[in-house]
Amino acid sequence: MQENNSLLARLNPAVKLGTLVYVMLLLITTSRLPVTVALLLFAAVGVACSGWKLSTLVFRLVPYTVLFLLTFWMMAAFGKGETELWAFGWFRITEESLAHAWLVATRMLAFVLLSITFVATTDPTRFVMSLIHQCRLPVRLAYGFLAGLRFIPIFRQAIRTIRQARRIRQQRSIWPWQTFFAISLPLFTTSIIRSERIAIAMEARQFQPDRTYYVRPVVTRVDGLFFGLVCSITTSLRLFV
Amino acid sequence: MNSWKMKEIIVMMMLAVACGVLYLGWSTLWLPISAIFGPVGANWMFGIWVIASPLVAYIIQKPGAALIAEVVAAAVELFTGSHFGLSALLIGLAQGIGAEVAFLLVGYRNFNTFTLMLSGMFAAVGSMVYSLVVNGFAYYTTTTLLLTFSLQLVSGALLGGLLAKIIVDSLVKTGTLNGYAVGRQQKRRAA
Repeated sequence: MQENNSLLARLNPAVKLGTLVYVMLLLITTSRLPVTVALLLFAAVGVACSGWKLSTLVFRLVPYTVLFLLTFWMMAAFGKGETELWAFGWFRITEESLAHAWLVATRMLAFVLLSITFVATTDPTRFVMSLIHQCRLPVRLAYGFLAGLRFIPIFRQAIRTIRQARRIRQQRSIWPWQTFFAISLPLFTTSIIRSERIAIAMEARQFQPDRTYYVRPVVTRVDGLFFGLVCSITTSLRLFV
Repeated sequence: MNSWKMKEIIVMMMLAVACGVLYLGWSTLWLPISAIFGPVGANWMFGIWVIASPLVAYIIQKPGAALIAEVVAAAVELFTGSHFGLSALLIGLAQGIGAEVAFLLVGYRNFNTFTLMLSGMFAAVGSMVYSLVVNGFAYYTTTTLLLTFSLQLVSGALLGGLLAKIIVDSLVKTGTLNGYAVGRQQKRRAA
């Protein structure tokens, strides 16, 4: 979310996203554990370069170990296989499912590290700007998205307020979807009213697709170097490990 | 894109972002449930993750709305630090394409309960294709896989399509949607 001064943060966001998606594609297309582990280590190098302090990184990574264990457990206990190792209730762990569990959970962890690398070094505004200039994203869509992003904290606050209001009135629902209605309906109504105001405000200020820009993101030689280097390293990892 | 009004674009973005924030809470809820009941038991929850497409497409009723809404909701998940991260973006793309195909099949004309539920089911298909390739669903036992898939289809139709229909119809009653395609459609029906 926040930008810092690391090398990764100075790269062009669109190029960075493209590179990371390429690494993800490599991860998807391999079903060999050593390759996946090698790419995972590579992703770990990426996270280490993201310019976050070690304590912040550890703090951010702890929740993901839960997800890792969960993915591992789901594949191990519900995967198919012949040689049974352990069975309890509807859980059944076999040798094959255990091997697959390692593969899928490692791949998932590599995905997590790649996305942390991206999120930690990318400012959303710069990212959208570079999508406009490098990927020809329609301008009205892009600015609409930016306006929407500004409302994430407001929406979170709104949800909190609604829940507190429900609690103080002792409104409890029997079914989960009643809770969903009680929270989503007021949230959607207010967001529709707000978005209409925003649209009017933007049009009143002559917002239009042909416009000039304060900052115009460009693809530099460093971006090309980064793309080429990461792609060649990961591709050779994929082919030769 | 030129036929879109500014307010239609903004309302699509805002609703998609709101859905993304809801998805985030839903993802947190999903973790403990899926650990206990496994991929089958937790999948009744699936439908909520595809609600952005039918919701926005029903309000705007224009080509592309379903796809863009789902991708935007997924992007919000990415930037707010969801535990699904970049894979949320890819799966959002798969789900959005699925939902969009459903509306394409009816020629962006009949936005009724059936079409919306169909889009929820097609989003489930898109998500399943992604999970088979990426999340190793092919390694699950055949019964687990079939149960998961059928549960996702039902959940996509009910929690995705039907719920979106109910929500938008209640939103229309509040009068906030009078200036959009769905409000006009209801007014025509009433007249």
